[in-house]
Amino acid sequence: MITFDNYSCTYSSGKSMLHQLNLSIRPGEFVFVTGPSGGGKSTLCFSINGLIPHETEGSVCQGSVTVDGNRVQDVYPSDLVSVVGTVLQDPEWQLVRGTVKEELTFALENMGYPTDEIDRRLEEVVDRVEIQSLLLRSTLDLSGGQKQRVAIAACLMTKPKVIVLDEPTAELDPLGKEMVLDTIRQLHQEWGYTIVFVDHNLDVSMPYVDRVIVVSEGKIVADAPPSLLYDDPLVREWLPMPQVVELARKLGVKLEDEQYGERDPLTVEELRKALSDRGVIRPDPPKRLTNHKSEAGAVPAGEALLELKNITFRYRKQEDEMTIKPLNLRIGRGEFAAVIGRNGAGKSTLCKLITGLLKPHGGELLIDGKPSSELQADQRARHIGFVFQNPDYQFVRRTVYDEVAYGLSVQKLPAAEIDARVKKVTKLLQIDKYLQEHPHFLSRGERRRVAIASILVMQPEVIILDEPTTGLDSVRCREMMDYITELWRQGHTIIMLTHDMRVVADYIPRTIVLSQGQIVWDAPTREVFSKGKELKPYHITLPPVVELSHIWGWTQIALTSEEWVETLSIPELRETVPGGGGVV
Amino acid sequence: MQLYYPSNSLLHYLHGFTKILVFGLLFTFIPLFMDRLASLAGLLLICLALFIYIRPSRWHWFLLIPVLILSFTMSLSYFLSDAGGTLYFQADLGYWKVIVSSSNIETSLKFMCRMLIWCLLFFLILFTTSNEDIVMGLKKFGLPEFVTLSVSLALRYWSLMIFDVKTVMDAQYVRGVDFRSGNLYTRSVRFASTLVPVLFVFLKRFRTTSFALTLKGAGRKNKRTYYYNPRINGLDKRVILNGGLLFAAWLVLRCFFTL
Repeated sequence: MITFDNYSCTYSSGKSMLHQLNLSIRPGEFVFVTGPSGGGKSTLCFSINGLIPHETEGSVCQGSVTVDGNRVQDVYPSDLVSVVGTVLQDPEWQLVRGTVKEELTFALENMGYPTDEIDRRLEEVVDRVEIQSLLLRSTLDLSGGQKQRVAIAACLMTKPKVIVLDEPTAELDPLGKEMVLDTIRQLHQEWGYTIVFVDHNLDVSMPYVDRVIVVSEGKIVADAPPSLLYDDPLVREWLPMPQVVELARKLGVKLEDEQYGERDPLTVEELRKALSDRGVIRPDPPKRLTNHKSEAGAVPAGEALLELKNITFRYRKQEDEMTIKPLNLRIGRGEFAAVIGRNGAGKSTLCKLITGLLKPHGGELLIDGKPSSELQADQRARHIGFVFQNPDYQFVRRTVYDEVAYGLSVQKLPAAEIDARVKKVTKLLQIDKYLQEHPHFLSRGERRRVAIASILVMQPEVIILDEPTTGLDSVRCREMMDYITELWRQGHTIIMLTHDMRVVADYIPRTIVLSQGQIVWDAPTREVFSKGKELKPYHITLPPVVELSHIWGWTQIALTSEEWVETLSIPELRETVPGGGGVV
Repeated sequence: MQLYYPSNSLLHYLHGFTKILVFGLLFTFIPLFMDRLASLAGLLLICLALFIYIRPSRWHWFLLIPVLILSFTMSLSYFLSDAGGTLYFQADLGYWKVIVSSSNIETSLKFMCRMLIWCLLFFLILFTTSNEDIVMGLKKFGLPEFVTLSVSLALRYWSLMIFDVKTVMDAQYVRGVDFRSGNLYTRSVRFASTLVPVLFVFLKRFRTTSFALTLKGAGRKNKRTYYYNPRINGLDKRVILNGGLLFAAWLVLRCFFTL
């Protein structure tokens, strides 16, 4: 269906994005493309739908890409619409029409199809993707997951043979991710579409795909079925394992398979079965878990730095219900807390109230013991720093140095002090080598670090981070979390909004669960994750180790792979896992 | 933020073309041919009655506040020139001379009335017409496809663009940049600094939209189908006829009387 024949692509800047790629994708295959950010995944997608070379100025291609017999370099993308359907990353700006119905019919209108044929296809697609209830709604009113689902439905209207999805779940909450992944699975399993799916989240996608291609530095470094992917030592270097594979490999557990002989388990259920085959049916819970990464080296929480007393808030448009219902929260000096909950739970509103971007309707907010209403913007910035999810909103200067120094220059500090502080912070976050670069032209992870540095340099007592790991590949995500943990260990108070439960389990000691503007739970992460099924209504998907702990009925759950493996490798259990002791 | 809201007023049932022609063109020109304050006030009352008739929400009523402030502020500029009439007050402020006279007051009020009429007519169209109907209305005027597509994209994205600008300002506020304090120069400099991130964010957004349009077949050379293509019905024809007659009658009467 898709063939890359000695295909290379270079941008006008001279940057080579793909080198002599040879790849063949069969009809009906579900291919998962992953790898580090900037490695060439999007270039690969755009080479399939024709945006490269036709819509990307200055891109030079050699070799050829053929899709269903069409040489992509010779056909303009708008003429490839009925062969390749594409879903882009940004759910908001890829929908170009006002209502869902208009969005679905738009491509066929452009192609000049008669209205009765448009009607027929509309009925079929709406039925398939189950979006009847959304048809007449404005695209502005949909959730992120619904928007991506509409984008997928809009692709199906042209009856393409291949569907290319470029990180369609990167900006979605867990519920939205699930919604989109369900639809993609259906496209593949029930209707047999050829799918090229680019993403970073191996944990969720691996069990469903036929093949994983790892692209790094413009080359394919691995191309294998998901359950054999990590047999290649090179891949283990390039790509952190999904937690289930990591656990299985650490314990030396494999599944017997008719096709492959032995393979890695890919789901929690498969891992449980593999362990059960080795006699590990229901191991004893860990006796005492204290050496958790997030708990080690923590600064004990000091006096209250932030206190919210009966805070309430309502947006002007929401006349019936409060966005934040009477809410009490205390954050102590030196704490590291995660705020989790589905989209619309009130997480961002809560942070905007703390940072002063919104004014509470009722209640009292104390910052370091003083009422927040007494503080001006610049005074508040010295107490609380807020790092936005998208760093592009923040950058106003031409160099990283000026950008980081900007907040200090607003405070009119002496030049020598500004210089000293900028150098210290950029060194800590390892962006000191980019001081003269333009912040907008750095990679996503580097831009995030510059955004954090520009807040950190003002030495706020509390740093609030909105989804700092979204859109980062697994390696960069870990790097970012290591930086944040380092800041916390140095005594900063950190509040992090996130949807990534593995990050919460691995790094953050305190978890606050918000729902409908109220705190449902506020406790140590281990205690919150012990709630198991009670967390389901809040769309919190637990990491595999936590899930396994619950399946085995452990009262003291494991939060990280290390804890889990440590438990299974205690002497009496080690004997039940053949080879386990040696591997662990 | 969506300006259009569905309802069952007569204006909601009219074709976009009819509303743009009658309220956007004919009625917009009439105030330019009105010399008397009473005539302008009369037309303003008619527009206000139509505005009440379409039953706007409280939030839509709030939009009249900036309109009133803007028209009032702009009308004050007429007190800086001498339009004659009875002089009530005069103040010499060096370069500026403030003159309050009967003619100045009248001119200023006329200007305010015209501004309010135009804004109300504009609101009548936007509040009662969906984006799709506005685009189809423009299409009936014979505008080329790329123009109607641009209008449709502007209507689709303007609220998102405002949201992005607001987020950029929020991101600066949390770094201590207060847009509500300081003198005019400081505020202008601070506001200007937001243009850089706004520009970068929009460039990235527009790139996505441009890709999305291409991938949905926009710009193909074949003849385009209009899936939604409402027809001009009897009601539209009557409204256009009456609007045209009213406009023509006003022009004729104005030749003989001062209106």
